[in-house]
Amino acid sequence: MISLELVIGRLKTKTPEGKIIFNDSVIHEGAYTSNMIALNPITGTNTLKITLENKNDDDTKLIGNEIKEDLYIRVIDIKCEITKDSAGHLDTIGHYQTEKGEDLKTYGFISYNGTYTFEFDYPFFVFHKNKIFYQ
Amino acid sequence: MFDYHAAFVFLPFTKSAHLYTAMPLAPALLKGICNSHGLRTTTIDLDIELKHDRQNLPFNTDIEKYLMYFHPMSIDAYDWYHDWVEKNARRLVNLNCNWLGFSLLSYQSLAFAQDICFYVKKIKPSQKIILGGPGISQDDNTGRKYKNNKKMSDIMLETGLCDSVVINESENLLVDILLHDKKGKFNSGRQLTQDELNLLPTPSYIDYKVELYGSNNSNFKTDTHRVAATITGSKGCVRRCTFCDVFTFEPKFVFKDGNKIANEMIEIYETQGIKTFHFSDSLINGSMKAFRQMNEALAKKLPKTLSYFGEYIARPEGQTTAEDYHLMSEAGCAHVIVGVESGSEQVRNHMKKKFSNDDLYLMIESLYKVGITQEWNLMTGYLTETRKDFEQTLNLVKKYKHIKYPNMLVNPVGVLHLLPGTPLADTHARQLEIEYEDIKEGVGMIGDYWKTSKNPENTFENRIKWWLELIELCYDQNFLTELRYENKKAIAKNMILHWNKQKKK
Repeated sequence: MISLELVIGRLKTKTPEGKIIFNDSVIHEGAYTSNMIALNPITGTNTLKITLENKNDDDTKLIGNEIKEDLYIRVIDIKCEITKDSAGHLDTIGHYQTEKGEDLKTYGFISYNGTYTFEFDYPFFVFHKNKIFYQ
Repeated sequence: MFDYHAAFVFLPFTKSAHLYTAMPLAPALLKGICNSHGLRTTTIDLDIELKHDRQNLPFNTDIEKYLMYFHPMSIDAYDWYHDWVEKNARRLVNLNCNWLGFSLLSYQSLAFAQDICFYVKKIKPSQKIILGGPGISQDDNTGRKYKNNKKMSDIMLETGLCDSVVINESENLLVDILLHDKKGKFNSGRQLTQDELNLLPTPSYIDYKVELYGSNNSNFKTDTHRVAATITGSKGCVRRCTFCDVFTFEPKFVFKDGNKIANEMIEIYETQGIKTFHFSDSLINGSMKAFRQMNEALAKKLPKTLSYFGEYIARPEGQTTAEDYHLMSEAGCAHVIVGVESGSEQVRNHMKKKFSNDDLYLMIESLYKVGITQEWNLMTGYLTETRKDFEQTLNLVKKYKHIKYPNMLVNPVGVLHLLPGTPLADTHARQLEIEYEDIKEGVGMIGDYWKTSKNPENTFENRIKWWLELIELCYDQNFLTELRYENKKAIAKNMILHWNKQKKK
């Protein structure tokens, strides 16, 4: 069993919305309300997609250069509950593409409409022997 | 419908440590047991197949280091190895077996076990896998943990890499698990009794690719095809050497009737055509009664026809007679491996080897007289060993310079490795104030890096220095082949590199 830990950035009047799709199954759709989501992985390669779909340009509230309020999702961790291993560095195992087609490295932040796609093998202790982790 | 109830697969990694290449016992014995219950099974030795396929690759050493210590491989090695594992996982799945049974000989089978289970389950999630053998049992026997305070066997089960695990002996549990598709962890919690050991069926070697074992073994400069079937005469050990972990998984010494062992060898010879036998026993002469019985039966029924080899111990004077050595020779004893360990009586006494220098000399000369070749295992840096002790080991090797290769082989195995669960790593570690050095460990490596305030001379650097000195002497005296000499030196060099690299951090 894997747990997906999120931070949900809300506005006073708006909650981020989108989908979580795990191995082609939609496991969440609509407003993000839960910070912890359980995923049931398969042995082998798993694909996790997290989308943000309802953000408008004026949802980022600035005072000067400082963001006072924002609508976003942040992936904190993808962790195996059996071994307590994390899947790995989020920008090594994932890529984030905005709806405008830009590829961004944001270390788990989804602050534009778009899709963060993570691809990892399970169990993680086998995945960590993968050459993508070699120094 | 399945084509087989089970396929039993011996997993890498092992080093070719014997003069003869031996086919692995566990799958052959499990096949024998299943045959006797009317189950259809097959056996595969992936260890020899992988050895054969990788032997000439430029990155062969990378693969070895990964299998032994989970050490990261070069990209070329990674790609080759993973293609190989995936291809063989597909081959196993295509056998259409209800169960795949993976046999893990030691902790050095764990890296491969994780990978083959991963690919099999990736290809066919419903494929049932059962793991067994000392490699997967070690954590359960010693209390060692792998991840999140859990043992390797539990992690493999809970993450779904396998369906069942048998801890320690599986002979009495296996058929029930296979027939009733039982899942989870099984441990009979006891060793086989003498009666149960005597009732075990004869192992079946017919499915192994025999031609793969016949290649020349450059470790020993052999030029004849000498493939051996592995058989068991006893389990456990009559000694409890301080550095050895056999008693953690086989606490009692139990042995088969000598006639039963001889009959088993003769049956394998007559039905499977194999003439050479390797004993899996800790000591072939653990029970002198059974050993004599076996030799008498072989010498009487098939004199000078079969040959066998195994681990042997020097016994106190009087326990083995000149007649015993002649009988061994008549029965086909071709080669013995003796855990001499040290030339110092004081060191061997601390180890609890229980033989004197005179006992040792008598054994060496008796074996030589009757034409049985001998190979000594020697170690350096035993906890209590000093330079003076070590010099006695050098003197022992020099003393037998006149016995020419291949009548005499000496294997300077390595420096003392503290194995979990052994008296040295437990009781003595406290008494001798052993501290583990601050070295980032690979799997199984920490046991090499230790120090004790009770014997300050025995530092890691000195142990390695002594080992290299012994390797040079054995090579100079032609007791060690060039390949083995180079391999030993390379291992020592890697250990020093690891030490220097980690100590500097």
